[in-house]
Amino acid sequence: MSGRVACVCAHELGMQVLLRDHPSWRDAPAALVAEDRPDAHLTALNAHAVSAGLSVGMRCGAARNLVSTLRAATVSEARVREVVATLSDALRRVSPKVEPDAVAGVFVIDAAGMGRLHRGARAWALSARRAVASQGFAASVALGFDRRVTRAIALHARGVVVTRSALDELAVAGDVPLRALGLPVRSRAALDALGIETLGALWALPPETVRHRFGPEVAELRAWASRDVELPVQPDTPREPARAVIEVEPPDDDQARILFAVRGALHLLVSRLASTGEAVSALRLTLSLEDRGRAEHRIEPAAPTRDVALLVDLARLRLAEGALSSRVREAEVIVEPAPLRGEQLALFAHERLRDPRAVARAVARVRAAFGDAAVTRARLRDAHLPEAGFAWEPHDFVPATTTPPPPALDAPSEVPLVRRLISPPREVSPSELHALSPIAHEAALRPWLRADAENDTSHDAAARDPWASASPSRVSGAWWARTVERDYYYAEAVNGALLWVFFDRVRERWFLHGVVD
Amino acid sequence: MRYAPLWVKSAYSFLEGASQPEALVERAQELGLPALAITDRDGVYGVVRAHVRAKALGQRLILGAQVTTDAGLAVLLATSREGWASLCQLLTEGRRRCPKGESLVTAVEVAERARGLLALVPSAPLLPLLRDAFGDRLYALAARHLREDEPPREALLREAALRVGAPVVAASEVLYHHRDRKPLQDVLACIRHGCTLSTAGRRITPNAEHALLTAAEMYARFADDPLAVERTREVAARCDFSLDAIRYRYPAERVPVGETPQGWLRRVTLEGARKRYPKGVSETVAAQIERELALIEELDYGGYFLTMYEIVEFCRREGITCQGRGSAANSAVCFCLGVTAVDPLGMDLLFERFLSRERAEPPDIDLDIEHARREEVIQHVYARYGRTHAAMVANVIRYRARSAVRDVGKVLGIPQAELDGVARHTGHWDSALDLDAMRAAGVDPEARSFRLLRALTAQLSDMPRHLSIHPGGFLLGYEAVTSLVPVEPATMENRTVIQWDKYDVDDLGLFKVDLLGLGALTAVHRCFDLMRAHERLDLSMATVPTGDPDTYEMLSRGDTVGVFQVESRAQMSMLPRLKPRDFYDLVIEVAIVRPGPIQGGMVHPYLRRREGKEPVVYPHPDVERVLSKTLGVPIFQEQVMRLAMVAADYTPGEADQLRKDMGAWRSSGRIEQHRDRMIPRMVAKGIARDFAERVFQQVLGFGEYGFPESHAASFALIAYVTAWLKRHHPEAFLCAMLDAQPMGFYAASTLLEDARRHGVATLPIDVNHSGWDCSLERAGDGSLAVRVGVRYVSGLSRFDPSPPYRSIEHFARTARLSKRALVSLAEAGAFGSLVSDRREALWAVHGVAARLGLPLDADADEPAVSLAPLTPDETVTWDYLGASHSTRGHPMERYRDHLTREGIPDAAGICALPDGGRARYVGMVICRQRPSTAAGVTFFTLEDESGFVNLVVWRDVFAAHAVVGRTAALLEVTGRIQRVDGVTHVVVDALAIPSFLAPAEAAARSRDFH
Repeated sequence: MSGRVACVCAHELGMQVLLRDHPSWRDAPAALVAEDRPDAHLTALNAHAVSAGLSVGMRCGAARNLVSTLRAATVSEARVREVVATLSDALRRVSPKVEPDAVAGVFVIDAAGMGRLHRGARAWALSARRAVASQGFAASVALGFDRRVTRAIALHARGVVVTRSALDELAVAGDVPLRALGLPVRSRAALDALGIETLGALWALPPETVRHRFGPEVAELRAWASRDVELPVQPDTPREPARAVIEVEPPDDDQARILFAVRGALHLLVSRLASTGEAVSALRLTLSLEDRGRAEHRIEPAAPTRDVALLVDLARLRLAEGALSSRVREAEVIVEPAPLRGEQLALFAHERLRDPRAVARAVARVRAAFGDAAVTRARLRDAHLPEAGFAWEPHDFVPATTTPPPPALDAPSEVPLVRRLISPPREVSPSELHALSPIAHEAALRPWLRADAENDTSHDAAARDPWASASPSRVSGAWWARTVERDYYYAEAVNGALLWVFFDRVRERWFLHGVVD
Repeated sequence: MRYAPLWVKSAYSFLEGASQPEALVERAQELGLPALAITDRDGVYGVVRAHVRAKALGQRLILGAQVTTDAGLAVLLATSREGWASLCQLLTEGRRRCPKGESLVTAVEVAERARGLLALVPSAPLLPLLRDAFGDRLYALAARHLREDEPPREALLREAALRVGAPVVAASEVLYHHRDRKPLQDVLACIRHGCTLSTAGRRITPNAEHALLTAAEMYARFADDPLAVERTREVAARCDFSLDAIRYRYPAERVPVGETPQGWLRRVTLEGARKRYPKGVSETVAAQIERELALIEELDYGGYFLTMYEIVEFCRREGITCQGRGSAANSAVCFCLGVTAVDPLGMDLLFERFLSRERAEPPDIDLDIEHARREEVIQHVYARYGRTHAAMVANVIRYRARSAVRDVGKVLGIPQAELDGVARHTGHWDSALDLDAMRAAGVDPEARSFRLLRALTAQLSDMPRHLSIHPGGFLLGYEAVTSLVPVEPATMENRTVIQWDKYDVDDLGLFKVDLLGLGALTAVHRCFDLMRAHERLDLSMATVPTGDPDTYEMLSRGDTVGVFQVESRAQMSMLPRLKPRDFYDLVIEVAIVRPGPIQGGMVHPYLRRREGKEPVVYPHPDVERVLSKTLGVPIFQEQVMRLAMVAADYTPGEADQLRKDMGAWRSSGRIEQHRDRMIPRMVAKGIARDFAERVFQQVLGFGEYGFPESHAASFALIAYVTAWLKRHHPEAFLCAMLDAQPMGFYAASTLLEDARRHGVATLPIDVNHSGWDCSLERAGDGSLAVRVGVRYVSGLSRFDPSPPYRSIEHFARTARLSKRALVSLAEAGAFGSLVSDRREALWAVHGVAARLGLPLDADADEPAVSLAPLTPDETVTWDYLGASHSTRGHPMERYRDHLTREGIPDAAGICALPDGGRARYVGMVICRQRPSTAAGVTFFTLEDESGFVNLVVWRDVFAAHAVVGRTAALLEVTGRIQRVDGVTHVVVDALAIPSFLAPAEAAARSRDFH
């Protein structure tokens, strides 16, 4: 099989993935759609869908009108990539040189010499097919001599095709319909209209008449017949995190000694990453214990780094968080690679007075010491409910200082009341509430004690200070989830504190929600 | 304790207000509010509805609008007619300069139009800008909704008010009539902002405090300033304008010096009468004309008639075919003015149906204009009356259940796939979402999200969504229309539209001119032109010979492909049963195949009586004079109205309301209210309940669609003319019909096939012989043939070939078309006179297109290629693919030998099979229909080279073959022959894709589900 090349094609991989992910759909009409939208096009169908009269290109909504039992879904690119990686691994069992094609599910394989290991070329091709089948996918395999021609045969074939010679290969490929080759739609339509439907018919055209009529893609297909270009297989080498395992003999629970051993392993791993221009984006440290327990830690520096000391320092902080249940017998060190940015590689970085990187390092230390959730910041959100008006989110960078925009002309000039929220709001009884308020504010607080505040028609509250108004501020809504109806009031406590309380109209209870600063 | 809400936005503040204007008025009445303002956002879209309801309830209404200015919002209220005009002009200006749906005016412009307006300003910066212009008509509007951010803003407003000396008036911004509409208002806000409820944040209001409040509630809310509430009454008292104050005057036509409009109308009417009755105007006619003119003068409608006359004269001058329809056909004056073409006296049509003193409503004249030239007429109206005095009437697009489901579902965050399923199981015109539809879509109707969906969909149904434009309704004014109602630019270029729809215009008693497009008139005009050019025959609608027996014979056979109004499958089936012998039969034919008579079960009784199989009896002696023309069976809309008066003792007012309710097409519930009134009264009068029920069913049917007699007569005239042209000048008729497409019921291929079966010679598209339009060519033997124009080549923009062309390259360099266009021409066979084989032409086009930018001598001598020529069958297929028709054959011809061997007959053979016999047939689907009146039955029309076959497919049979039934272009059916009165149907029991079809052909899909 010297000089041989093979192509494996898992036809309509997306559809195969869909049915594998939804096994119950195999017995019903099912379709793959491009997007999760009613007007998305069907991009692939199973046999039930085809026999029900559906066809690729129909809109999902229209198809559902015709076949109400149609199951349709998308398959994410990530999922397809994952399957492609799995299939690549499986195919590496039959050849070390596997090149995934731009079309998902198609693989070009260097099959040179493989026949000797598999009792002949056909046996090898069958084992390649079985390798794919072992992962639950169906594929065709073509074994030939020119990767482009072999690929064309595989795209059209169902099963295994082994050609005996380059001439034989051309003869077989001559019957391959052009529609199987993924030509641009316009080129294919033009060729179809002229009755040129197979590679053989295309190859029969005078070469000089093709390019200006049908474009470079078709001209390239035409040129295959001349076999003027050699395209070697470019195998896909799997990229894995760098890993080292340290046996701790005898088992030890001294963190300093364990970290010393880890440091040594880290030096080796970091230098390996450095050779490819990469740095450590995360350190995964797994400690296997004598009592068969495991302690797993994932530690992220502020930015990808090759600073072993920094990594060890962060690991020390993390390990200091808790005691180990027994002695460590093995430590596995894995470093996750990431490209190192140019800025990080600079020799003479400009030093600023306020060094944001120092802040980031400090944050990383806090995070290492207390866990990732220890560093958060509040982000304002667009919502009416006070507690929904902000959210805590992980803090991963230093926010820039910005100048606030000037206030609108009709915006109030007063400084807004700053309230410290009590989370969750604390329920208070009416008697507690009374105790909180001095007599002087009774008039303002009177509505609290009367359910019919809105019906109070007395006009004795003559004060024009809006804050002194008897009316509460009211927040109600969220009816689509759970109904909220709150009347908010400010109340002055006996100690002079200004409290923010609300009456929950649904539960008919009072709550203390905050204190004005 | 009194309070008047002054800032109220109805559902006509599109996607903001959550209550219909009527609901707001009713709620105000219920709460005992002395007055209510309607102040929609930058418009007055909802005021007429509010006005009508308020008038009925005796509720005082204040009219105004919330106006967006460059310095904030202002609520402007009209204190007088002058103020209303100012407001309308201001809004017109604001809309004119903004994208659709938006408006912006400057504070300066508001100040300039302050007369007659009162300004309530919630925005502090705007107050000083309006102080001088409005003086004591300026108020600071303090609106409270219990929002936390309101007090500081109000403090600012009060400061500003103090500085300019404006009193503060209390308000809340009312967005719904009752607080339980808050969810709907949230949904509307989300639709408007394109977000979901969970992501809406502050784009929805924080609470439900935007409802109409009682006076007590307002005093409580403004307990610190009760005077502000008191002032609402002061403001209300100052607003003394009602839409009743609008005194609309129709534009007086420019009449010759020394003439009055009425005198001029009399003169042109009498002149017209002499032309209409060349043998002399009879006393009856003269008396009728005098009677009509007297009433027109009394009601001061002369200007309106002269305007219609002027438009018709314009059409005549410009050679544009037009014809009045609707109730105007009841008027002798309209007939004499040339507005209508049917002699009302000859037809015994009732003038009072058109115009009556008692009804005191403006006349309604609809003018059909050949659709290709309608825009010319519309632009003429704009030019003649000016854009300030003429604008088109709006059409309010409302939510129906299906559209509501989609929008509400999106807002609720329901996954698109589920929502799509529910929407597809909901009827287009349903007003609510039913549980069965949800279950059919595979969703749980009891799940919270779907319960909300159902409730909100019901609330949203019938709510206005946005403003569109009426197909042809114009409002013309003596004074500027903009002083009556705001005018805004329409989406369509050079069109302007008022903010009221046709119901509003009717309710206010304003005059409307309807200029509607009709494809059949385009075809008729084109046909007359062709006959003039090729047959030296000068005819017009008025001079086509009447009472032609050959034409009626053709109609009676149902041979009516292309004949206006009677070409549908249902009409074709009816014609052999009704066998029209004269014009009035044709009027009945046009009217009888409508949901009204069908739903009322009136069709078969009429046919039986006509054939003498059933005696003509009347359910009550009083109804004989109403129904005598139609053998005791009500067929026309006005017969139903008159029945209501005669048999159910409807007053003229009630009958007129019935007419309006029938006309308010698909407005839910308006017709149903007549059931309890009409049926018991008829029964009490001794009319059989069964007849009464059927009459009411017919009323319901007319709610769907039904024709008044005059309207049917106008259409019957066009039907007769097109039938006459088809019968006597089939070549010119086909050519004209092809050029007038798209129109009518059938595709061009069906028209061509039908004409070929009638012996019309057709010629293929060819760049050396065809123009853009189709044309007639005279052969050596003197016969005419129809040459199809290049307009039929798919995907081609207009260009006019200038033959002769020597080669494809010569054509390409001369015509300068794109490569795609050249390919389309080659594929459609349009280079047939240059290169005989279509694939060779295509190969040449690909080569030429690549060389187009190069000089001629750059042509390379390319080696020859060998391409497989098209077979005759492929040629026909290519014709269909490239031009949607073929002059070279019918697609079914290729299968004929095979079908004959299989013992499957063609369409002619099917018609020869005995009634009740089994039949198997294969044909091309040209029409699928499932009429709402047919209880789930689907009707198919299949075609082959010999004619048509009609299929009846029962609901369960269709369900069993749904995919094939809905999608297949070629169908094989088995069933039983059913023949009634010479009309043949196949009642189908199985549908299939013909087994002999190649997969690609089987996959070809039909697109003709009507």
